[in-house]
Amino acid sequence: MTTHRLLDELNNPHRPLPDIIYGISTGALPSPASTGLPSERWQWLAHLLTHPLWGMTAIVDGLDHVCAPVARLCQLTAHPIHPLNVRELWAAEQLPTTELIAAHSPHADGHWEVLNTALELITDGLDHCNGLETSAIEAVTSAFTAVITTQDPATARASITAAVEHWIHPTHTTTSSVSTQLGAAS
Amino acid sequence: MTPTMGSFDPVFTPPLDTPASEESAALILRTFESAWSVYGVLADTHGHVPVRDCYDRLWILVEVAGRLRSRRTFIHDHPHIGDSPDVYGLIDVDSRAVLHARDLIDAHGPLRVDPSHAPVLAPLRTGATDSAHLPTCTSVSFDVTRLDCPT
Repeated sequence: MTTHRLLDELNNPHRPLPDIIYGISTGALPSPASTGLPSERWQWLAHLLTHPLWGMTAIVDGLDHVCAPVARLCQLTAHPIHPLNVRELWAAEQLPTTELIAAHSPHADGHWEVLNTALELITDGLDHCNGLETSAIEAVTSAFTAVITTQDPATARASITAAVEHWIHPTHTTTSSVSTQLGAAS
Repeated sequence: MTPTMGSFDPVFTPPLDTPASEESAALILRTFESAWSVYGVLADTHGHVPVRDCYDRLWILVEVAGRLRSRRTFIHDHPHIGDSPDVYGLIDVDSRAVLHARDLIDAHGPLRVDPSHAPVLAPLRTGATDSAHLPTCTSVSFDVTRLDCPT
């Protein structure tokens, strides 16, 4: 089941976005970054947080200080050889993010959904460091829910479509933006 | 910020909306070795050096069992249920928000040390030792190459 099927659903204007996201969460529709090379998957997940057009930092204001460091850890995880203790770095983000999300509520301004996306990625990062398989479906559906919570339906559909297209056809002109901003993984 | 040796870079950060006379310099720590070298000089009586990472998040550097660790701070306007012991409390070494300072600097650095408002830097571990018998660390005698850098 390729992600092109998800793209077909997104290109159908009669298919409601909440139904599509529900389909991703149940496995009825394929989720971006759920399979493939870990390096490509973690790189796309970094973009899910900080891409300048459809990343969470572009969707919700005021959470760059959460999204940017977690995106940095996604990039470090995408590159398996480095001298850092990535598991410890992931773990250090968990408690502060858990504290932050307690101050927000779902279905309000998207902050809860974005913080939940970060928390799900932190969980996936820790699982990855422990040798477990992760799908990142929870993070992806939470991020897409943040999009439909904060944007009008047409804009939200365009944002999610852009994200899925980026997974199918990653453009190297934009993939370097986060690396440039945060520094390449060693 | 008297030490001038080592690989840290004192930079001049012009603050916004403040008169020029109140401008102050921040210390930028780009390597673990530079952080470890200034730690003994800058640590307060609790052994803490507050620093900010590249996302402006506040951490403290603290020596735990001979190693330089970094710990996220949890500062709120009002106490929250479940708050960790705060900056001036006991260090929770089991907290998941504790990192090796080297990992913090390499992943989220450089770190910025804002100038202290205290007129005199407090020496470390004043209670248990006789400070009169300790060598004075001055800008002349300070030599980062002679400091131990345990990992």
